[in-house]
Amino acid sequence: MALRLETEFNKLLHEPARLAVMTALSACQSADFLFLQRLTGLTKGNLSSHLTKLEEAGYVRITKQFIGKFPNTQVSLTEPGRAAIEGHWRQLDELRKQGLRLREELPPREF
Amino acid sequence: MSELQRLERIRTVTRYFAYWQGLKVVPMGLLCLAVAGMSRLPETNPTAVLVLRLALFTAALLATVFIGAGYKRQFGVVYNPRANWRLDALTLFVTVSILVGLILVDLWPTLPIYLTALGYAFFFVWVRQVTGGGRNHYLWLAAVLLLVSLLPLFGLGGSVAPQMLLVTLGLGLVVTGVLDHLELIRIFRPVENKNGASARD
Repeated sequence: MALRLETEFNKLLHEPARLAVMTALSACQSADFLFLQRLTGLTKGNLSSHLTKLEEAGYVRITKQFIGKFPNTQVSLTEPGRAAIEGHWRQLDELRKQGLRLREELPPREF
Repeated sequence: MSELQRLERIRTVTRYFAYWQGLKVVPMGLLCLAVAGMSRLPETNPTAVLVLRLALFTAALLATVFIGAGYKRQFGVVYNPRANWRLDALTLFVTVSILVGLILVDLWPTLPIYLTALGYAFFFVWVRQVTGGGRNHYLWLAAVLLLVSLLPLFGLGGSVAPQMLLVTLGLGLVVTGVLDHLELIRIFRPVENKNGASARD
């Protein structure tokens, strides 16, 4: 019996840190750099690199400004970014359902 | 917690970030406990007691603002859509309404149950539901408040029920606040430093 999971993921989004960033941004209007850094636990350099990739793909918009004397970087999702992360979540849900179906179809293991 | 569950949690915490900043309610909890403790003392000088209560309230308010600023420095800022502002306004409106209700119900001590405590019980369940659910300590607090609302049935109405409500709210806000904060800490990851190791702050 050939059983396999039939889902192809967007590799740009499937990387755990980028997925966490995109998931967080999908739940708000925008978030600042520090929030995303605390969420992912990445260094400033690593997070910047991930955000640049997402920006180049057209998924996020990065706005740099000054609040008083302090620099502030805000990140928000673009419309294509929102569509991409919602599609990715649908795929993850589908994968979860496929996994459950697979578990039901497999014969019980004997230990 | 699986990765999918963690992502779901990230979504919920981001959407309702302000409601996970638990330490912000701790000063109000301590204020409730202080007011409950003060009302046990003999009131020799009512004006001094009133001034002290106002001073404590101001201190609690300032502490809340100070802790809020600390959260901004530690965890950053999330800008939420207009729908969340409506939720915040509604939460504030319900809270103020219940506080007004507390005063009115206190004027009517012959009711068989303590309605204000019941109102607070529903309020905490409601807050839990509209902010993504999952935080079961709110249900425990609601259950204790429900018990407080039944005190008049056991002949413990009068001044005992409001006292118990203040103590329950005080302890409840402190405990739920700390638990919300711990939940927030669990979601956030320690920030890596440059040579690959990681540190909490």
